[in-house]
Amino acid sequence: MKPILNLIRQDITTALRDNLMVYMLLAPLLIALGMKIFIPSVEMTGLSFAVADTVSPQVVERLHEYGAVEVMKEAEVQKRIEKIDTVAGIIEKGDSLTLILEGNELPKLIEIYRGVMEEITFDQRFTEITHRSLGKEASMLSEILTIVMLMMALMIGSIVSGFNIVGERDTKAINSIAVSPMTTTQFVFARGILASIVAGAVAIGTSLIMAGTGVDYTRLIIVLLLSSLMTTLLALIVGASATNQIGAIAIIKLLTPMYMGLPMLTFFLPEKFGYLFYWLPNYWQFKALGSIYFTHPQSIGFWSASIITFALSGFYIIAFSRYIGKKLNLR
Amino acid sequence: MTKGLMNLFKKDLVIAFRNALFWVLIVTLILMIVTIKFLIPDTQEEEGYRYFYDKSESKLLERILVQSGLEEKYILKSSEEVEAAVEDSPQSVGIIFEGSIEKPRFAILHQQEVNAYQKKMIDVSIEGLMASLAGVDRSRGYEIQYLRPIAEPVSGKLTAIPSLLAFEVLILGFMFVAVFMFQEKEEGSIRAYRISPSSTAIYILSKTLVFVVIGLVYGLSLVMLTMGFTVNYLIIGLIIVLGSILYSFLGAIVAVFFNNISEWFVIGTGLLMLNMSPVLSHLYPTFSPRIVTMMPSYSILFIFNETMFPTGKSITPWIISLSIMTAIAYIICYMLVDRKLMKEGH
Repeated sequence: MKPILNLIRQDITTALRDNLMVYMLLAPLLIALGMKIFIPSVEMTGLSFAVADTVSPQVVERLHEYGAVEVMKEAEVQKRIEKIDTVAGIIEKGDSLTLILEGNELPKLIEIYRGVMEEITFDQRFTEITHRSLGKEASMLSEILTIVMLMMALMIGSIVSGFNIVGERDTKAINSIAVSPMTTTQFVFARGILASIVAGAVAIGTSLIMAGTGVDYTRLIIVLLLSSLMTTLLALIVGASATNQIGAIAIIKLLTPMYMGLPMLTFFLPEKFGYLFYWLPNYWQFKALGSIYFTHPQSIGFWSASIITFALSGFYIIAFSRYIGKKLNLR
Repeated sequence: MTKGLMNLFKKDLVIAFRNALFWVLIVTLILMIVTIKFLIPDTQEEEGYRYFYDKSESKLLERILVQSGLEEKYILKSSEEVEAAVEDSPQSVGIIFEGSIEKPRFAILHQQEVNAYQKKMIDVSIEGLMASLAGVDRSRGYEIQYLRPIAEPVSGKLTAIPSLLAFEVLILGFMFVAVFMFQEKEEGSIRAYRISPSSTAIYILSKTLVFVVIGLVYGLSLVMLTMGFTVNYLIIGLIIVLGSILYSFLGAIVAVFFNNISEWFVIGTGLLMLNMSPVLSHLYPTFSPRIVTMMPSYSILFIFNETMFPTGKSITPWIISLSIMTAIAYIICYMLVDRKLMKEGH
């Protein structure tokens, strides 16, 4: 136990000396805060109109019901439409209104813009429409981004621990660990414990910012505990694959899309492709987090996803422990 | 100067490839190609499902919708079924029809509270449907003018390529220029460079050139292996070159404020995430706040899109603004590298 604690103490001292702990703990939380502020503006997005100042105020008022309206000189309207975002122009020609579109808008959006013009120019109503909400306080975008931020927090914990190993290899400090009584298992524990504590703390902070207190934190802590081997695994992959900073960043560049991108991809793919990702512990971790943060029912339960995350990560660590020990010259 | 630049460029290129970067790029390239070719569906999926229940006795609307191509799985048999379906799928909307075709009433069910604009857009679609069923032509009250011919729909598979170029290929310089600098600081080779006759400009340009070459090979391989020879490679090559230069300069600008990769990593990742915010404008085409449009990736994404899937829109102004941005970034990069990296004591 003593060698493990010594190595953890040494890592904490280094991290505090370089202000690294501050960066590690604060930066992801600041990013989460920025995202939390940003999300409502994305969700409040409606249509966009560039309207000539000759169009009647009544029409402008009606357009406000559908989205953002910018009123400008008629000559400016086309210039505004030509910008990169999707904006429809409205000018008055003679007695009637003209809707100006670029032609590159999505077909669905063109239909909606045309529908808006029909609503404004045609008085007769054909239907009576009422809207009702089931009352869930959910936002798909917010839920996805919360999970992205949590996985990022977990990854940062791993990577910084991985960097410590790379630093030791680069400066040959690893050789002094190799001749010490420390075994590969103890080394793995030491790196894993610190990485998991940092990752867990940042993840809980991120969750509080992104999702508030409305989620089940007992379950989150269980996922974080059962993800500790996943966090350790990532740190070891970085540490064992790279001997210097350039190599470490190259490995991280590959790991990031594999760790965060692949599970996210399953969200947008037909369910029949799910089995392609079963070998990835991070897929199960994503599913476990999903069962906490997604308000809609999940096909895979919380406990099975969390336990498989733990078991698969453990399997990979055991399978590669010899390779890791050899790479790091440990016993 | 050219000889000095080429010597340093060769040295940096060798360092880049000696450190697994080559294999990482090959594996990532394979992953991207497999994802585009085999995983992303060809047709654009609907954003959400519309579950429908015709509560009327005649079931006329249900029959009309089935005839017009609505899949039967979206037609449900009771209000409770609609509610359960909406409860299960966050992106879905439940539509319950009552009354008659002449006097229709609709109850729209959402899983959560949606904004007023979205409600109005759903109303617009339903009003349009019922007006056309009543045989009323509402399009006479206004005219529609397209600045260019309506663009052909793009295959869902291929729409990912511009984003991959912007957020995977071009950012290589941003990440690796920083790492090169930290590595040189740690190894002490930056000290040797300071007393050598080479200039700051050569130092910056040699690193930039490495990532221009890597970006070109990496990016063009991705486009060629997914889109074949159907695109204008000259423009795509030009944007990869400009983008790689810009991001390499930006990478150096950020890196001079840090001492090692661990310090830089969280901030660097945060900036790269911010750089990815234009993806939201890609997903929500009317979403364009200033903070997003200011990102260089916003116009780069548009130029790639327009070059690969042309709609007739001019990209020249955006290429010019990208060039100006790159020139400004170089000036700032030069000043910072010269002051913070090339002077002793740092």
